[in-house]
Amino acid sequence: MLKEEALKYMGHRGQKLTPDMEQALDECILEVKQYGNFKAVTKEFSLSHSPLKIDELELELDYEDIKTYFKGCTSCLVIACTLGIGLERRIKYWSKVNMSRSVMMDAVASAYLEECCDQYEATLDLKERTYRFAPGYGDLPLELNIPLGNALNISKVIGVTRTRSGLFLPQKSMLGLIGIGAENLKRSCGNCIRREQCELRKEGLRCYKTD
Amino acid sequence: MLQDRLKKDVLLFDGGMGTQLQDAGLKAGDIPEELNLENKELIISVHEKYLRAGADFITTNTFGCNPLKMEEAKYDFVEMIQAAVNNAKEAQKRCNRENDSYIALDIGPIGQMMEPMGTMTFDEAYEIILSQIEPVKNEVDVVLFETMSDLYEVKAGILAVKENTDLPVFVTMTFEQDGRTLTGVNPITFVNVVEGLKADALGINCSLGPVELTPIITEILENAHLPVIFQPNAGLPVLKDGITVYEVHPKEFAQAMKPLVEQGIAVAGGCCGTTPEFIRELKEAVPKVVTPVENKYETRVSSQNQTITFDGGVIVCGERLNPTGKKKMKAALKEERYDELVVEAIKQEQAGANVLDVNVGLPGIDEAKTMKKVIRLLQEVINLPLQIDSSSPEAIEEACRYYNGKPLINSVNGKDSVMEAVFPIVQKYGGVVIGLTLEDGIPFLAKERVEIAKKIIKKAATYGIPREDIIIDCLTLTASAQQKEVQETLKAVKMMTDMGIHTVLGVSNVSFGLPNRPLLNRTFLTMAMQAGLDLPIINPLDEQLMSAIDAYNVLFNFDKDSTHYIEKQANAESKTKEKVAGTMGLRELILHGLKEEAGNQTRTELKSKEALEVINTIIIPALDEVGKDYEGGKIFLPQLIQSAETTKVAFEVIKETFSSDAKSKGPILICTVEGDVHDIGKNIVKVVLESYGYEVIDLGKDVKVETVVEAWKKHKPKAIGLSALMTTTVVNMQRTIEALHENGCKVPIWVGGAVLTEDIAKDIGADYYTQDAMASVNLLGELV
Repeated sequence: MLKEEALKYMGHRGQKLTPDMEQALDECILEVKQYGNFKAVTKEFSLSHSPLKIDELELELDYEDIKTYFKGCTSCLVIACTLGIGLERRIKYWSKVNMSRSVMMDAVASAYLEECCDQYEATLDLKERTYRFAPGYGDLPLELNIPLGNALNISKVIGVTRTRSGLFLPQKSMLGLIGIGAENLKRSCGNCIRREQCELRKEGLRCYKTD
Repeated sequence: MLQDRLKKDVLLFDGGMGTQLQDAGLKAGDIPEELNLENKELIISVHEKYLRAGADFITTNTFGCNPLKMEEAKYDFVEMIQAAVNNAKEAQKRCNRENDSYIALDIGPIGQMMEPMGTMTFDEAYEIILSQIEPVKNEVDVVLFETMSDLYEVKAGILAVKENTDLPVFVTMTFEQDGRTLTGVNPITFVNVVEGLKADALGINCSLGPVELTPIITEILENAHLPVIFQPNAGLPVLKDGITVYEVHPKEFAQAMKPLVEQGIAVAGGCCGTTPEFIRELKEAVPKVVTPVENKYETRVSSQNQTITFDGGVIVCGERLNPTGKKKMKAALKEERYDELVVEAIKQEQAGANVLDVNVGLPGIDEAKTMKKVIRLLQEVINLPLQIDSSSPEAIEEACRYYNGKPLINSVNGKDSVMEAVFPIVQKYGGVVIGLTLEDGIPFLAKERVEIAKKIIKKAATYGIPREDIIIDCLTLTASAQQKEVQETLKAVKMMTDMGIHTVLGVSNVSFGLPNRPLLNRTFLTMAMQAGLDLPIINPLDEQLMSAIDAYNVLFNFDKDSTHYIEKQANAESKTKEKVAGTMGLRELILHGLKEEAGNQTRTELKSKEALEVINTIIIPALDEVGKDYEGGKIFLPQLIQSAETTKVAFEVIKETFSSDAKSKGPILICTVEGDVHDIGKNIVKVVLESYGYEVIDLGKDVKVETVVEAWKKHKPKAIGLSALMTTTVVNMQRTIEALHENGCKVPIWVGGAVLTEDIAKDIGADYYTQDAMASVNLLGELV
């Protein structure tokens, strides 16, 4: 699965993989797992509706997409995670001597972060829940990373910092929200808010098993 | 005096502040520092409780009180720091402990990632920390950097205190269970670097409880020479109903701390989850007097995350980052193509070097400035400690200041004026310095060289530099000119080794002017190693020379069970087989993206064809085929890049051989704009453009607007490419374009990056938008 996801990020559309390419990809997967140091932190907050708000943080989430997702949810879980700076240094290292390898590592790392985060979520044993929704996705502004990141103390706990322009460093880091108490939309391509603009979908590709 | 008590009395810090404030109603996301002004009584009462529980130090409520983190706060950060110190003073007064307790100014991480991986510069970090210290430097007893994870930030902090105050500095870093901080620092490196910078105490705080942290604090205790601090959490953090709680009780905590204090901890306290009760129990449990620890002082050099100990084994110093006698490197330095140096460094690291010498001395360039830049770029990807090699004290100082770690410094000699210029730098920043056994000339006899070595060691001691921080260069002489003296060098190495002093030699000097130099180098190196040589400065790409070291390490029982030897020699055999297998032509190599073979194959083609013919009949048609295959979906991105990199190798060979024939197109200027650190897309464009024969000047990532304008003026490019990945940095892309236009730049500007579209490109004033690297090639084909 990791391999397929990574290939998709690299723009692979079913071309035949040479044995060299297969081998390089396998090596990248091993190296990403070796250098990646997954860390995650999570906190649960209560929600109130109309307007949608995280109570403890007095943070309004008055955005259409997330209102649809969080309809009927009583609380929300904020998760932040990262693969750490060591992996990033390694990707940078490859960019100096083998750009192709660096691109593969980058794609594998992105896919691996998703996979680790999914596995981490699974350990939380969440019952009725929405799927993960990250600032920057749909109409949820990227700037929400600031108060949510602060509330989880991500720089201290998992070493994720923000640049002054609001980007996460290490780059392979993610912050997402999960609604608890209702399951409005199944995790599927058809339910994705980007379904209208998604290049992959136009090509007939699907990110999730269900359409 | 605090300094006098530090190594004698076991001193106690307080426990958690944050947990106390949360118990009093502080919510997630609230700013605790605001309470310094809004609820003074609460803060004073927490300090009071700790003082009454027996704490010798109280920590001001200023963990995140820096201008960046406090941007959203209701009050100015300086006002909050001053209030915090006043609250601590008031607590001392109420407990009547003004004279026997200390106020520690608490400084946590700034919260931004530092260069080279991040965007905050060393100088910015220094200024931020200084702005926190300045307002209260006469009112606190010590500055405490705590919960640190980046050693570079620690360095900026220690210097900010030492250069501007007389206050003692304590540093505690936070280690994860794997024994490293979140930025990858290990305990030995932490100790080596922070002791070099002359902090006053060091240790660990936060993350885990005393039991879990025992192996890490023990490692520190076994290696440190400064007083050791230990402030763990109240056990492992446990998540209960979405809230982090700590489950170790005060008595358990104190009992776990007791044996560690008995082993030599000088300053003990608590972090998250600990309360005044913990400190009370701690006071009861631990001895009053510090258990003395006498650790041997080792010769150690460090990078940001790795430390090399001179323990008898041979340590290889790679010599290749030096422009002397290297035309290509001279040109690279002059034209600021520093990536070529980085690649050279990586090759040496891959070949097994343990330390890399860095020399950028070249007439006509600003050595200090270049040294700073090169060191930053090297430390972005190289994990090895560096050896700063310069005859200019200014360049050495600049390098030592901005280097992340404890470097080797190359060098001083027996001249007083040289030592007096360099030793203060070593003393201030920490470092292991090489002493050349020469004064006005090189003495002939071994014993004369040893005399100079003794003089150097003695003089260093007057600066507080221990003999372990000196490595002596007994100087290799050339066999063709001074055959008799070659022996003297070896004798001197033996004499120094017998004195317990480590030695270094530049090996290849020995063979100058004689045929089959590698043979002489190898033989001399083997003899020198037997005489006790620790640090040969050599070309690690010379496989036979490296193999001689491997063999030596087996025969002298350093390579236990010959593990390293077996692994390397077995690999060497299989590699030879692989090389024989490649018999493809240049066209096929490009199509398949096999760059390792491309150089040789290009040379073969050039034997029977003119350079232009190779370009026009092989390379360009092969590249066009690759381009078409990519656009037609027959191959995908990594394959396109592999082919591009293969072509680049072929072009480099052609340029070396026929520089006039293969004129490159361009130059083209590219960069990732200010505020954005995503450079993978820009790097792909660079490689692909270069494969089409363009000269690309890459300014890097997070490039300031002014820098782009300056580079445009300096390089007069044919086109400028700007990249940005995030919506938040497209603004800076627009600013860059505006600044270029305001300065009269009429050169076409094209933009790319995930969030850009044709429309956005137009809106921000760009001339063109391209979707990917191939589109950029096609565009430039029309423009240039």
